[in-house]
Amino acid sequence: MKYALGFYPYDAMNYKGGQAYLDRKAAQGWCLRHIYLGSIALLEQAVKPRHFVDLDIRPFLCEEPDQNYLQLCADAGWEHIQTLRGMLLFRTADGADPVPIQSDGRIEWDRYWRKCARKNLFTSLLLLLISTFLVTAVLGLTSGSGWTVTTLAVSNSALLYLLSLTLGLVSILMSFVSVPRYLFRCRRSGQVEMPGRVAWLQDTLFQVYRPLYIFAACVALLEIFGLVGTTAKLEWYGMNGEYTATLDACREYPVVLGTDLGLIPDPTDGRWLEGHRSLLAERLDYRESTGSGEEYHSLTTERYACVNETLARWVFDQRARETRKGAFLWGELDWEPASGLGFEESYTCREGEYLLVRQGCTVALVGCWGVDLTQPEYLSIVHTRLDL
Amino acid sequence: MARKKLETLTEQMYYVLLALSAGPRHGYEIMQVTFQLTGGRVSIGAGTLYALLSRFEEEGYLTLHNVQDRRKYYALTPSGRAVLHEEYRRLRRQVADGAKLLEEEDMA
Repeated sequence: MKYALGFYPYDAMNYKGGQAYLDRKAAQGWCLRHIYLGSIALLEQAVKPRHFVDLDIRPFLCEEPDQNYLQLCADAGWEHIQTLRGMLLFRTADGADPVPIQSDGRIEWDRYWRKCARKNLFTSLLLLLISTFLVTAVLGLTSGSGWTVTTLAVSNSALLYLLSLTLGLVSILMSFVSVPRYLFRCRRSGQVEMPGRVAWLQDTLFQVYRPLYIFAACVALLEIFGLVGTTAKLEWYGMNGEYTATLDACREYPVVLGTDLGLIPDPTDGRWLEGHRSLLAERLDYRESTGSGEEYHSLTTERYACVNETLARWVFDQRARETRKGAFLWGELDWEPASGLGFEESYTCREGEYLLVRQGCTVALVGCWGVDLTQPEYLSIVHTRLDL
Repeated sequence: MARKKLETLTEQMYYVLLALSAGPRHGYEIMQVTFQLTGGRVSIGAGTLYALLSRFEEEGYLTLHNVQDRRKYYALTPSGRAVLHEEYRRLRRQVADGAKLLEEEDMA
């Protein structure tokens, strides 16, 4: 027995597309055996096979399929293969030629409209409203909380989520364009018509969206537990016995340390360094508190190494916008353009205490309380230490 | 799309009720009887038949008689029999009307 694989992304709304796909396969001598993982069709060689894709009209899909109906179809020569996304998939025995399961186009259309299309339109509308509400709520809750869009660039799970959400949203929006036209066409002819290529694309996007969403969740879990994506994690606080963020350890990374700027280290200093990497960028986040009283300094280095300059420009602009709005540990940063500092793009604020610079594919936000980093001697250190 | 009370029967509807006029039958028997009675001219798909049976049951034209080996047996109700007879008379009138004109035309 020969086998082949196929792609079956069709949803109940486009079940006639699924029928057409199986008809094409049947014409080539392939009969559907089963659909795995929601869309991978396993086909086997057969003699003049025939398929029928019917709507599964149970009120709730968690209920058992109607056994009386399946028995009637079996008596009529249709073997039930499986139930999938609101569809019942049937095939015939080799060479059999039973009457099609739906033999009256008007009854079929009436049933499709009442049991499937209306529900689908309502569900799509509800999904769009819920998505809009969730996105608005998330943006509202996260604005000013320190959470930043640039965080997305250094998290593979966030990128995957973003991609899957985009695919899902595009699929829903496409359905709002294509479905009314399709239903109008069906209504005019009085039967369920063959859906167009847009329906296929929409179903395909939706089929890709779901596994991608699950994959993103798995990657997110791994990232939360630090199993993937974390490139550095060094901590040293005064009260912490685990002194991993020693000066020597931190010096291995391209960040600006207090000692680089001539500040005298003290045993009570606190240091913290964390690194994350995604397919698009690597971010190093370094914080240091050094000295006390008048001599207290708080140091910051955020360094983004991007895969290309376009992304680096976006990170530079985005980080400037975010920190202006207060997405920064020490409050809002009112950046002013600064030229002549030796970087391709640069901003400065708080009398030179903070610098936001871009050089090639690298973006860095550097800051130190009480130190004017725009002074030539410090600029040279920033250049060297950040590997710009 | 609001559901209308049945006024006239489609050909497939007529044959479903006709197949049940001789006594209770299950779905596949109805399909077979229709096929044999019409010499294969009218064939009813399982899905179409199931939809029609559900609709007739809702309208009170037939009733579930019993279930045996996952097969539902249906029987005509007096109301269903009346609808069948009314349809039969309507079809006869149509044939008679046609005969008046068309047979004369054929003879000419």
